Amino acid sequence: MVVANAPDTRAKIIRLFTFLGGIYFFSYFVLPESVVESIGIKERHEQISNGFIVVGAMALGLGLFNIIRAHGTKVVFQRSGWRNSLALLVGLFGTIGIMSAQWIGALQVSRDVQDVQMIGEYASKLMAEKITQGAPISMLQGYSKEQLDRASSLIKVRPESQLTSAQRLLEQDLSRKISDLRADGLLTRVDIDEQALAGFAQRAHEVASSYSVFRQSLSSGTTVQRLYDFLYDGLFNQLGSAMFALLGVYIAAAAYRAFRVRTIESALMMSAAVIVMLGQISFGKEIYEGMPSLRQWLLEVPNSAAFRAIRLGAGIAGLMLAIRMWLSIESKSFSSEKK
Amino acid sequence: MDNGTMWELSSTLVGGIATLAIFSFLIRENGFYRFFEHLFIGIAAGLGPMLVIRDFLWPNILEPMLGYSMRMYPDGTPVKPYQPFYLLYLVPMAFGSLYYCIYSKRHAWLAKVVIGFTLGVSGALAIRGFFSEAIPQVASSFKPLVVFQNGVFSLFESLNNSLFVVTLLLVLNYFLFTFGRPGAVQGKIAPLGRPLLMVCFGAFFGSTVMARLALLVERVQFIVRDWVAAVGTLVGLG
Repeated sequence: MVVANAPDTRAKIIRLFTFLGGIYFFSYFVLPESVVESIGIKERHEQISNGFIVVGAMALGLGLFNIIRAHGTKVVFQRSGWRNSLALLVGLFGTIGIMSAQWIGALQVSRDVQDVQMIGEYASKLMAEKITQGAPISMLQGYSKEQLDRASSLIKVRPESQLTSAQRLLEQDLSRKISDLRADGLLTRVDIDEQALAGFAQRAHEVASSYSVFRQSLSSGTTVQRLYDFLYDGLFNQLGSAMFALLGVYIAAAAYRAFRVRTIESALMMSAAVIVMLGQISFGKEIYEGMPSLRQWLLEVPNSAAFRAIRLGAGIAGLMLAIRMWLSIESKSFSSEKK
Repeated sequence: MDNGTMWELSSTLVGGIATLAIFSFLIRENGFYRFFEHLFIGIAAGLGPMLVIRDFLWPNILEPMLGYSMRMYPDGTPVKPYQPFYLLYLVPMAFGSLYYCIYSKRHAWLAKVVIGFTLGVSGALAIRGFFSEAIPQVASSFKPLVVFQNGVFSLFESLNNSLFVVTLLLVLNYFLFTFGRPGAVQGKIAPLGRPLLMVCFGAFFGSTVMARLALLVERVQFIVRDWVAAVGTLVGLG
């Protein structure tokens, strides 16, 4: 193949795609809104943006594969630190497994809720079509009976003794609403009028929303949900907080070195830091009544102005870098064959 | 003890052990710390892709593309008809799968095509981000130097605004290396930006220390209150 044997052509293709990657968002930004609207891009912008995200999302497997390969090899050949690698893999697969199970359960609940919602939605549709154009009312009656029976059996899956008091109240409310809907004349009569259908649709929507609340509440007590809570709240959050808190100790130790006053500038830095810290705690108010206000002023006026200047400088540098990156000026070595 | 309480207790116990393992790094790096560090990375590495798939790929791309989000009325008519344009997402999917060419020596350059594309997108987004974020900030930075509140001259606000604008200009000037400074006024006033920068850094340092210490206090409270109580419950003292 010509392309495969021509490094220059490859470099050109890479540069071309780098440019094409940015052209959409750049054009969307610089073109007047009326033009964007007239060519129909505005209404499809979200879907198009999603397409760009999909390209990046495809790299997810790459990351996972690399982690599994690097640590899996260590475990299989029992190389140094293989136990840690095993912990990493257990964490990785455990998370994927538990989250998948929780997600599948949530999808099932969502499907069940949608089925119950359909009773009201279908009644509304028939009403909108003024009954005659739609399917016969008996189809709605049959469907409603079937779904209400199913919902009734699903809410009885867990014995009453295992329900919390809040869940018991929800269940009683839902059972009453289902019975009311079942007793509605619509489920037995065929000659139904528009007003009765509207009332039925309204009550069916109420049943669906109560059913949704009840099912969500039941999901919180499942083993999968508890495993997820254990993993997320018991391990991930705790480990994350501990990691950040650990840095707090090191920052406090670094403060000892940084706050040694040797020059006027370091004295200014120390004073600003001390005011900010004291202004945030109640002890600061004991030293000087206006400490919180002084802190606020320091943050809002000199700190904010200096930080804004830093951000503007960094922003201009970032802009230059972005332009160079987009036009492949920055990344010539990337698009060329050099290693 | 009911099932829910058991789960909460085990969650607290393991959370406490994990926290102590991380804090053991303060003594020196050790196997206990490294084990939990790896576990943390593993969980984080699993959470990331799952969240992307569950919250983005499935509901926005795969579900509508595969027609799983389609619902039918009992009479067989669709609530919302199938949108065939979702099939167009197969194009970015196929293009994105070029990332995997990185494992082939012969076709590795194709992975560079998709990496370059992503860099181009990031570049364009950064350009847009600069203009939509920085320009309003520039405009709002130039505050009125003489402030009247309800028709009365406000000395405090006027001084604050003046200090704000002067600080901004001096710090910007400090970072100006592009054209000749020595001898010029711009060069002479440049050192004035330094002390103002130091005040800014000091304020940042103070805020960071306070934020981190707040986390540390929360962790210590968790160990002293919750974890010790959970251990007590476990050994029958609670």
